[in-house]
Amino acid sequence: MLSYLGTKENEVRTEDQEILVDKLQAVETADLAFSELVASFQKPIYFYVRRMVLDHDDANDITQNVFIKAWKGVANFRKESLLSTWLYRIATNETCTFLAKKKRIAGLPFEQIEHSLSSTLEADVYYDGDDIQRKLQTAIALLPEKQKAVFIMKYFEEKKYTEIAEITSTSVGALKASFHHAVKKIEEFLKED
Amino acid sequence: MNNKDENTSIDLAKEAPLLSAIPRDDFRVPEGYFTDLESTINRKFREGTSELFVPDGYFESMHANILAKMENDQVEKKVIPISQSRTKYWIAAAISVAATGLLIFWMLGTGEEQCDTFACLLDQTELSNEDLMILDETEIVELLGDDYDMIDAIELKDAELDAYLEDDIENIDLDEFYD
Repeated sequence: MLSYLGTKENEVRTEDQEILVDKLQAVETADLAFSELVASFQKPIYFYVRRMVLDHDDANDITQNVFIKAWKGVANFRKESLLSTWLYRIATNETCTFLAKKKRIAGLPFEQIEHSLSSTLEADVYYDGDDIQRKLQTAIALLPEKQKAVFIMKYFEEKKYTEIAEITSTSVGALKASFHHAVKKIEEFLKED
Repeated sequence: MNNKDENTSIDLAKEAPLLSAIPRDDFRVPEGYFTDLESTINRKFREGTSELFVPDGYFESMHANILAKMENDQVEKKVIPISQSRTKYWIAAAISVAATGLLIFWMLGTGEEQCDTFACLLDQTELSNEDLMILDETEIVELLGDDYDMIDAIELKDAELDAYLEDDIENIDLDEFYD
């Protein structure tokens, strides 16, 4: 089994990303470049999505969709941002849409959602966390979708505010406020019995 | 993540000591998952990036599946017994159709040379009464083509039609069919 942290050493270098975009947009190299794209970004994208949705199977489905959508849209990618930023943007959209739909279908009150999330993690064979880690995941899951995305990208993925701002189309100032509100909410939740 | 938050003076260890103390490596994936994920995504990509996928061998087995379904349908087809009361309805319906056919034939007359009658048109187009019974109006118009306009010239007299129908129906003893 494998775990992963979105640390700097796992990032694909900026110049390598630019070369990869060129290959993806050239007909003769596109197929091979797509394999390279998946190989390079599947882990960060999967773990970002997994932290958002918690369930492995859901994360698996969403990750696959992210790459298929990236392939469909890469011809129109204008290189105004990094390839990784663009992929995270797709992943954020896909995940937030998935969570909103799931929430609407479940229609559970707050207390039941909390209980349901905790049970899901307990039953998950691919989750290794102890009680306090499970409590943290529950606290994160209870954040609004966009704030959750910001917290995960900042806290676990260690992304810069400027990059998160590009991914979420939000100003850096608003992101900082959002992140610190999230930290406060989570800390309060962790203090509760 | 560094405890000193980027671009701010907030120290997470001080601000959120419980959160900062929690390890961040709690999620796992199945053994070999990323090798499989890469090949799964690449397979989908090479299959044409369509979101509509079918199971392996789906189209190879489709013909056999359809045949099997047809056989099942035949076995399961219900046999509806023809009850006596239903027979009576059919006989009455057949008499009505036959009477209407005779009436139209009688009203249109022969007029072989001019061919300005419906019967003549039927001869020309080789449409039988049976054809007319199974064809709808649109199909008849299509088969008659330009000759359809001639039907407008045929005059049907309501009084004669009513008289025929009354006379004909009165002469049929329906009781003999209701034993």
